[in-house]
Amino acid sequence: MPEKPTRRVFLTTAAATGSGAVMTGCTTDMKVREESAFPDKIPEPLPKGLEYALTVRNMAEHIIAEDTAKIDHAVDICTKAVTEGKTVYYTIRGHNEAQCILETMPGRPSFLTPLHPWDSSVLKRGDVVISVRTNHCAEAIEHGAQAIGILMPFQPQKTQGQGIVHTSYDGPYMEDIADVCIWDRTPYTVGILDFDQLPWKSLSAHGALDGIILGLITAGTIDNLISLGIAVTPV
Amino acid sequence: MKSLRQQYSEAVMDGFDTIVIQMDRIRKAGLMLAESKCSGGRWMMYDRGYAMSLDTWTRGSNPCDNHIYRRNKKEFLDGDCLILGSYAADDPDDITVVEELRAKFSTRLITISPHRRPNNPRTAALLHTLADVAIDNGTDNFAGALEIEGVSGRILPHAREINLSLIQSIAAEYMQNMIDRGNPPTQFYMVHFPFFSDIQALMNQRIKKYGY
Repeated sequence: MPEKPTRRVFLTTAAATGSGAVMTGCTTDMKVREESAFPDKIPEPLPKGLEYALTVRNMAEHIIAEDTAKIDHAVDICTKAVTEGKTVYYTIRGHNEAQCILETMPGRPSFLTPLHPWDSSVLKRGDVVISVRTNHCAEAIEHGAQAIGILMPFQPQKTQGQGIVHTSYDGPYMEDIADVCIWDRTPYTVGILDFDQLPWKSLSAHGALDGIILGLITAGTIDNLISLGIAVTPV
Repeated sequence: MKSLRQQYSEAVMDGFDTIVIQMDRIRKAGLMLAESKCSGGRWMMYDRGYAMSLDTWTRGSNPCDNHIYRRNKKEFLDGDCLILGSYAADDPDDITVVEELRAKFSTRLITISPHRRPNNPRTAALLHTLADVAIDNGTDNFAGALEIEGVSGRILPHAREINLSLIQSIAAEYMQNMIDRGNPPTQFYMVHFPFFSDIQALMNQRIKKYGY
């Protein structure tokens, strides 16, 4: 059994591991579209605001480009549920508050139902739950619903920082239990940027990226339903 | 004809491009925020519904020294710098908040909002015209919701994702400005990390001591 780390050792390890956990193509592979509105030359050194914007942009682009199959799968699950008269619930939130734009502005499709506060007792067999939380996915499955998981930094993750959760944690992991699991590309350090003189990465991005993943799944589902002649109404 | 998924993907990516294109303004906003902070003012945030503000405030890894403006408390102070995020160019509620800010001395305003003029504005002046630094989120009063054949009305707004990314870009510039001035900001620790309570208590002591 490894010796319990001191705080200093832990922080050093977490910072080092976190740096490596940032996915390839985010901080080191800045793609700039060659359009007239874009800056002709990326300034050196890279301003931190620009570094943040390009990093998040790259993460979103990577999700759209590389997770097509997963999004397709999630779309199929949602489409099937709606056509069979089941409910598609979601629990994508901001900072644990009721802040999702889909509830504060018009434009949420009528088939997409917010489930806040979380109450798994309403779930029925065949329903779908889209959530950022592993426990929601697990409870959904227990109720016979299908789980579409969006893997955000605060959830235990097999591929990153598995040791960050309590050492006695042995599952479940969203990657294992969800019918579809889409990683939002943010590291378990939450923050995505390194700054000189700061002890850990700073500035989160999952709030935006998780919303974008939900939007992609919802958009694809709407496309399918329209093609099947099923009415979709924004509320 | 483009699918909604394709339209949504493009709209989101266009939103991120909007951030890159306005980097000069974002840098100016970050600098102004740091100057205000170093002059004794506070970094305040507000957006109706707090979708942007709450995802930045007390958020793990983010800087500690920001405050949400609570309308019922009307707690602006002289020297404050407010980042006001909005889904509308002409929300009367936003204008009222600006008036509450400007009732104090030496305040500064950064707005994140659609600059596109609505057909029948509800306010005498559009929000962004009142700002010291105005950043366009590239959407409209429908928060970026899209139109597609087969759906009556607009669907799938995405302005929150863009507004949130914009404020974080400003925060990045602010943090680097503060570091350059010898004032590295205190960060919130991560709630899911071991020793969270102890380390966050240490961060709380730091912010109390230094104010940033």
